[in-house]
Amino acid sequence: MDLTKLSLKQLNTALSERQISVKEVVGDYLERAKQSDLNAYITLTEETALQSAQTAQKLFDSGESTALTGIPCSIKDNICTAEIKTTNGSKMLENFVPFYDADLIRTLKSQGFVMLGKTNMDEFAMGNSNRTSYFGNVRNPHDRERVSGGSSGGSAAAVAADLCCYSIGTDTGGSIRQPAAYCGITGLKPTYGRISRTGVTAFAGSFDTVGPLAKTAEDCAIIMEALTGEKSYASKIGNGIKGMKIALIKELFTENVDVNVRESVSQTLDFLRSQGAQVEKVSLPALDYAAPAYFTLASAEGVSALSRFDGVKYGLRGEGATYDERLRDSRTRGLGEEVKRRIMLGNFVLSGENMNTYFRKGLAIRQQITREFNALLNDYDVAVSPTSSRSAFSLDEPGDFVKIYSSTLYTVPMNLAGLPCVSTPGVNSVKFDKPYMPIGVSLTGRKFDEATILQVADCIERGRNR
Amino acid sequence: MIDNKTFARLSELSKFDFTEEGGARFNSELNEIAEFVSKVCDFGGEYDDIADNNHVTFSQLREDVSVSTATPEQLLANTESLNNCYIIPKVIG
Amino acid sequence: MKLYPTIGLETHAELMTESKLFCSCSAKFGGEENEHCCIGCSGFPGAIPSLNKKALELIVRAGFALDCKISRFTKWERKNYFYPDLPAAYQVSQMERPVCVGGGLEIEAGGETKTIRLNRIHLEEDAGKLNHVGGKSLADYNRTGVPLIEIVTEPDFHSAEEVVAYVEKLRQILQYGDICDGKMEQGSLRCDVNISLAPFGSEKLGTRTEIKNLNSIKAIGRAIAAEIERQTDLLENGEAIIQQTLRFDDATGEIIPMRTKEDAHDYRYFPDPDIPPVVLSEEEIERFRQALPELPGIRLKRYVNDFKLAEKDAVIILNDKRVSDFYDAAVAVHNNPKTLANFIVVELLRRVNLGEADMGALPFSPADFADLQRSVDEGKLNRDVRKDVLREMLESGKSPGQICDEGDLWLKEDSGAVEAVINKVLEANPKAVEQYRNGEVKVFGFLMGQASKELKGSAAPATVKNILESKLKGE
Repeated sequence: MDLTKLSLKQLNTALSERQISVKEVVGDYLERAKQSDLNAYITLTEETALQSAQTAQKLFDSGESTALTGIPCSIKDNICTAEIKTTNGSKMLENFVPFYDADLIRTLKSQGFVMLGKTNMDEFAMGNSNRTSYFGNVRNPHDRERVSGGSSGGSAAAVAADLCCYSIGTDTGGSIRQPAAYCGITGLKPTYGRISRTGVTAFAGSFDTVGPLAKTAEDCAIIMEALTGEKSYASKIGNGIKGMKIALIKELFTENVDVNVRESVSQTLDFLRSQGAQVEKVSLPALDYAAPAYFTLASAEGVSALSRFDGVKYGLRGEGATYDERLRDSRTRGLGEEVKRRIMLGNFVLSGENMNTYFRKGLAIRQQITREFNALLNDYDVAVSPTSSRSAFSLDEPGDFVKIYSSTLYTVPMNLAGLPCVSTPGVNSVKFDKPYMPIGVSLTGRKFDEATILQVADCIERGRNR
Repeated sequence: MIDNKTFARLSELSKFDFTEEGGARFNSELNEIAEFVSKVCDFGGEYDDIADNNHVTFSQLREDVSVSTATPEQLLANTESLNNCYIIPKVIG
Repeated sequence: MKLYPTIGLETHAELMTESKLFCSCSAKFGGEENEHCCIGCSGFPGAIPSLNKKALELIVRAGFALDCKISRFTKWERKNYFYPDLPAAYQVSQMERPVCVGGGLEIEAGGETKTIRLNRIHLEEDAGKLNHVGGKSLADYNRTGVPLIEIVTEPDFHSAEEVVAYVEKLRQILQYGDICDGKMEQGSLRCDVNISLAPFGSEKLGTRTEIKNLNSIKAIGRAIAAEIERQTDLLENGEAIIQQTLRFDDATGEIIPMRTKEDAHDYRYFPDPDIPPVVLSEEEIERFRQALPELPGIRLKRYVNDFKLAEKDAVIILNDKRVSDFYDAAVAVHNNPKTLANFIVVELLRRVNLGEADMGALPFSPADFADLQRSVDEGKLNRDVRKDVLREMLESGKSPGQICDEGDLWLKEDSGAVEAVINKVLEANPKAVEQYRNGEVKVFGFLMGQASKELKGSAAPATVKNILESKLKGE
């Protein structure tokens, strides 16, 4: 039995029934992670993992184990871990060792979790191909010459390549869902505010969310239950979807979407219909403005979130005889190009009169998108859309910023509206893309109703595995 | 959209130094992005902060109780310090 | 051409909370460097702010005390700029929707009464402290994140005297409201002053300058006078005023320009994404209004109208909230506001002024003080003795009862006991008795003194006089 192929749920059963020991499963995963050439991890924490494995085993032995006890996981490197480097994929924090754990790490620790390491990411979560990481590209496990997606690229690749059983990532504008789609796994962006962000490096505080990347929808539900302490996420897993009302978002299903992706989404919708769901195409007109509004607002928030990196308190300490000289040198050398572009853009939209003509308009658009989305979800249980207009692209594809920024259209609306959204591979996606690359379908639900979108994702998963 | 002067001002606000060549390239990239983002200016609606409904109520706020969660040693562990303080080079301004 | 100053004021007052505005660190003054700090107020990655409800209550209270309109919907913005006393490189403040809007404070200056209009009061964070050592600075973030209210006036002042009257009154109100301790020497209350000069009657205001961070009433008065003089000189010499930020050197009395970058003021305010707006209910606002402690103006009316104190005495008592609180506590124990007020003004405050007593650390309670006055008022203790008992209380901390018992200071109610003492005095001074009886009545004073000395104030002088007279005449 290859333990690294098991889902979280299966692994938990095997551990609970003493078919295997925590040490075995952790050992197997560590071995794979060490041998991997995907560059999914920035830091492997082998020693800590082995210690946690012992603690976890004791919990099993004393009957105090929980669903996550002893399950090897990875943590995105913008989530602070005490005494373990937390780089944020940046040269600025290359050697930053926080003394504190993020709230979610404390929660996981109390349940005997085992962390194998910190995963690679776009610098400060700004990017969607993991190519902005100071620690290098992450390779897509399905095709090493393609991107993993981002910014939680390391997390998605690690789960897809069985370098961990699940991962915790962050999603500000699609950073969990898009890499999950590119790597062929399930990634959940929960409702904004669902999981504590304390100890998670901020990029754009009004958008940032924390969520799981895992092998199945059910695993995502189990992780959410462990993180929130609320037993509701898995409550609908396995339920039929007969009579469910599903909306296909018109603005996200246009000619701009790659034909293979459209085909996969259509097949997925056909499958959902076959399961008794009612599917209709619905328009959200304000989405035309979604990507520009997102870049306006998120970049502005990013400006102030990243201003604390001044070379004084921690992080890269630049040269310079005066405070200002050192500040400039620290930031000029410590931050990468994409981060600088976002900060410059953020300052542009905030500066002087632009505050009214750009930033405030961004807020107005966000408000309108939220209204339209909520109105839609009054009438429908779930909204469906492709997670990306295409599957993972080549690592060598040149950076056309406008194209890259526009491509976030498929994920940012849910961040603008603060809604929960899960990306899961579509049914039959194998058939449509050559060579085989996964295609993700996004399911957006009502605020705090993760249970329903996970139910549908689980249903699609069953369709996929037929 | 972003001329040299504006670019210099944004660099100053961001505290970034650019070489002449790097700055020119960066400026042109930034112009493309600003152009893309400027679509927001065409939006007709106005923002209504009260209607946003993302507020909290008084009872949800934190009680005024003081708790110590870090020591100076922990806070200063990632930098140079003197007398339990962060060292700042000469401040002008 | 007579130049006329127009002055506006921004007062920063630190709130009397236990913890900081957005984190749970102690807001207490002092402590070891960076001891009252956490990842939040020190600008580490991952900190999420959490608004202190007490701070919000206190600013609402300040709003009621200063006649403002209280906003039910209030929110916070980030003010972005780099400075090493600001570890996150932004200060959380309020721009669009401050907690308090409008308002005003009536002041008296130069024999006139006028109202200074307020523009707003908002809630924000304080910055840290930089200690300059050699060519470096050392940053201590203990004060970073301490809650501040900024009270902004309209440009309604036209003299230093008016500003000083305003600050004194404002400080007293904040202290009485338990809003701010008003300790200017610790920086818990400080002012920025905007000044411009224009010809008298001119509708257009002159170019204004701003003097930052004045932290004593004296400095405020001096700085304004110095800046008016500086601007007057410039204008009279035909020079222009440059709009700039200044500081006042307390030691030399000089106005010094602060070096700031030209475009350093693009603060790029935008709503703080980590701090949700707060909606206060009408009930909550009403509850805060009712929790507003009695303010000095109302207390003054109570002292004058209900307690019948002379306004002069009432003002003296009110001048220091600790004195006024002490007085009220004493009156609660012994309901004779007039004699207690007299005792405080005449005796206790004299001790305080002499440095023999400290209102912050009295060794006795208001109840003990009231007991002492009660004994006098009830005729159990000679009025002249109370100051000696008070001194003893200050020295030993003993209760007045114990002191009187030990010193045998109680008034002798039994006239037989007084007679016995007087008989002793007469027997001891036969010569004086002789002289009196021979018509030298002036020795009566000597005998009176001897008797009083023996009695140590334990008999009313009138009683002593009556008994002594009857003894001398009757025998």
